[in-house]
Amino acid sequence: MMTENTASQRSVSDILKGAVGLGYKVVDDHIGQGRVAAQRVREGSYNSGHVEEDITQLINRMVYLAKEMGVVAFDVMSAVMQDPRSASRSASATPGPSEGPASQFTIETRSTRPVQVKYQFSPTTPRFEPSVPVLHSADKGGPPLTGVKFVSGEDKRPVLKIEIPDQHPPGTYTGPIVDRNSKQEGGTLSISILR
Amino acid sequence: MPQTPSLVPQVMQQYGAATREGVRRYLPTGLPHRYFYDLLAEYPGRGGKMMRPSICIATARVFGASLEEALCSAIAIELIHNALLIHDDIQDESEIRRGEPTLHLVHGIPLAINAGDGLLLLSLRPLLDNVANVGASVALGILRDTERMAWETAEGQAMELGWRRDNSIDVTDADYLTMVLKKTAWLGVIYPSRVGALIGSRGSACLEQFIRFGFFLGAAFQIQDDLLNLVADDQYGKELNGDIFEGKRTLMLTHCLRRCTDKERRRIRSLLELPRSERYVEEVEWVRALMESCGSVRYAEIVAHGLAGAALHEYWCIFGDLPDSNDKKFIHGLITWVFERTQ
Repeated sequence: MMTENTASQRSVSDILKGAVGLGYKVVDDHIGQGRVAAQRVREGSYNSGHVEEDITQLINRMVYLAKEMGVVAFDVMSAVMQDPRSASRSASATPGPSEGPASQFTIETRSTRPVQVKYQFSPTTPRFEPSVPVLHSADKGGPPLTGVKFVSGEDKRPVLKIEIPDQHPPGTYTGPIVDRNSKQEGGTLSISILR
Repeated sequence: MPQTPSLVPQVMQQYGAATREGVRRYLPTGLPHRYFYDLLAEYPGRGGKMMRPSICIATARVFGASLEEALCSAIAIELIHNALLIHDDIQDESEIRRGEPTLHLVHGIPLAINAGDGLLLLSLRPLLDNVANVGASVALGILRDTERMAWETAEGQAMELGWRRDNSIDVTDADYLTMVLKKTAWLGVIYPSRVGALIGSRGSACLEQFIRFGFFLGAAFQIQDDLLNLVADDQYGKELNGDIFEGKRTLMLTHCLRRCTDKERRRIRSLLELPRSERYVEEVEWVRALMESCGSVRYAEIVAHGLAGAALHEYWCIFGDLPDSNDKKFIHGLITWVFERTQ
């Protein structure tokens, strides 16, 4: 009986040892293959300037793949991808009289639906603190869009935060961008909720 | 006596509820609802353990992020999981999912495939929203890992389907573990924990270590899942011995094929060659009994415990130096929960 127990315990121990050893071999081989693949992908330099371009390429590739799968109802994603930077982008390329910090802002969007953002921003002074009083519907009678505001970002540069409530009617909403202190107009903002 | 802290189900309930609510918000409700959008909502509406999104959120929080920062990724993970379940059920000819008939049995295979495609596509939305949520660089890292996970999962699924198509009876333990690593562990644990770490560390965490941890935990989970399939009851939500009916190359079956006599091996092979509809209960129960007499069930139990032990070791390598928290305890608790869960 003792011999049987000992043999049984040894058997369990052997199975455990074998399984764990085999497990490590399998996973380490897998990690090794991943390293080789990553090295191949990462050949050449890579810096943060490529991030946005990469996102666009990656998303376009996923969109293409999904289209190839024969998926219907794809118009929404395609609409978003017409401007892949609509979710978050820097406005630093905006033409305007000033190239200082006041002319630059980032856009952060929270919406379950595709949103298109258009703006014209030419701050009148370097100390221009942008704000958006209210965005009115271009269609008569529609409720104004109120969840849009400028806040100060981590680097002190303005961030345009756009929150679209789920039930808010689709359409185009426009309004001025004004200086928070002087109320002087420095541009216009237009947000389209596509569906 | 259960060893798992009650924290594990509590955390899964909390993070699962947040994820489920998020999934609901992303599910479209327009036309054609009867043929498309209603189908998209079926599997997510049937519940589920919510283990994957919970792992993502908990890991993100252990590494310093908030629940909100991880929520979009958790939602995407749950959508992908449900999409793949629909496709898996078709490929496996499964009949029951979460206690109800599978989607393709209710709506037909073409519409079910389309619904799976739709859920997969829908998962892109929260991943895109991540740009505003966690920044472009981390969002890109998550997209890259999503692509890798998708490839790994597809490769693992191809291995398993190929074995069944070719009626392979010489699958080794190494083959089996490689398949589980790709098919189960990547989406089940590796990807959710890597995404969580990416978010929490703002992209600075070393992700390789999560492959080891996720593999060992995911493999232990899968083997236990296969064992539960042999002793399932009504609460389990899957059919009893369903894996044998489906011809799945489980660790028990491959071990049994190595241990049984030539005559028994030929009989199993003949059974597995038949279409699923011609595999009778008596023959399936004979295979089940043979697994017992060959020690295959006990073998799988021992292997699962060994792999869980390795998962515990890898857990301490990753999380050992991080501050204690409920989320850290939750991830630790998952390793014993694997063996104490009943579904």
